Amino acid sequence: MARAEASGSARRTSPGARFAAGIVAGIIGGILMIGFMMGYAHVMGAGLTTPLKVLGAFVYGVEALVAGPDAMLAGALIQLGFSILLGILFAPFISRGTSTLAALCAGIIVGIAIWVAMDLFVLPYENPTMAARVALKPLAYFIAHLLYGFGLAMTPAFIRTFSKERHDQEPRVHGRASAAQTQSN
Amino acid sequence: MHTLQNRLGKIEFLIMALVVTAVAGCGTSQNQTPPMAATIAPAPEAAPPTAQEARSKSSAQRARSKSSAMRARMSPEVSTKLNTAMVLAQMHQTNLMEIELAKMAQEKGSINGVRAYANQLVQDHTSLDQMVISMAQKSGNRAAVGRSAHESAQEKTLEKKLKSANGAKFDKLFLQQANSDHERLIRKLQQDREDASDDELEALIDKTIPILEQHKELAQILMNKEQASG
Repeated sequence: MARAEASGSARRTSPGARFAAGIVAGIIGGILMIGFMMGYAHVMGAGLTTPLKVLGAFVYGVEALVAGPDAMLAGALIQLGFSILLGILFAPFISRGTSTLAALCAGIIVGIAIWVAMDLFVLPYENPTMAARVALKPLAYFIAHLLYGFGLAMTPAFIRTFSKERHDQEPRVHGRASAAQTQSN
Repeated sequence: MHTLQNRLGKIEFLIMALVVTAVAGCGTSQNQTPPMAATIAPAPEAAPPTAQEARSKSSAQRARSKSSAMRARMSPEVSTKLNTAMVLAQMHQTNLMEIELAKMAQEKGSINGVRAYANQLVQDHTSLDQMVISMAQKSGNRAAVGRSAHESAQEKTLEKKLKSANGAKFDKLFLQQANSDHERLIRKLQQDREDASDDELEALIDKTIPILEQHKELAQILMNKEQASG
């Protein structure tokens, strides 16, 4: 009976597993995205840290370009923060049974939606410093968002991993609980 | 027949390119105001124009009207191509000059802000120049970006001035120069944008101006900081 309950709860995706999977997939997507942008900027002679600085311009304005490590740290935190947030928002729409192809399509659609929203509505008003630099490398910025989508597409795999961990732990918890019950009896 | 027309078009373009280059060249040697690499002249903001400036302005106007009269006689296609080539050549020269000055500031700047600003100038103008070169190659104006940086007498004087300055004096001089250069560049590009009939060139200018505006704004911020710190 206990075993049947355990397998039933494992089949359902717990909110905790979804939450954790969203965070991890968001972090991976965010790192893929900023890593690609930094590498591309370095190769094109625009400076390895420029993508971080222009993200820091959300806080420091144009001064971020000369503000040094503070602006870069702000940029890294903004990138990671938004990546995690969007990963968490993405995860509830995904379950452990979602196929890789469906997750990939969903991730890419979300990546493109973020790209459109940033390009048209956010950057021109909130961060013109970044908007001007994105305009110089539009294709790279688009590819970076696709990479974020690939990161998000890993969500079902992480949900399965975290659910499995929980499933592995559950029998032990049940075992301990029944042992405790026997002792008390 | 078609090949003959093509050949005639090419010859016409080459002749006009030579004539306009000669006219533009005369203009710069007489006026001491190089095309867009006028980057390096002091800001003429509030000061009334001197007789020499007035003379150079009028000769520049004459040169411009001569070249526009030439262009009026050409076929629109050739005229557009020529105009694009001229603007690209000017943008390329400007980028090279800015990179050169900024590299000097990377070494001689006395505060982190100035050195970081110089780094940013080098990176941005390198990116902008790559775009100019790639557009020139795409549009068959390779020759427009083939030359390396050439300095006018005024630019040489400024370079000497900057080389002889040190510490805070260098920072001040460099930031003032960067501010006035970018202001002039922005005005020049806005003018070119109005005159341009090439969509790609317009798009390139639209991408370039915001970056130059940021450079100007940064120079002003750093100058204000320097003034505030004494």
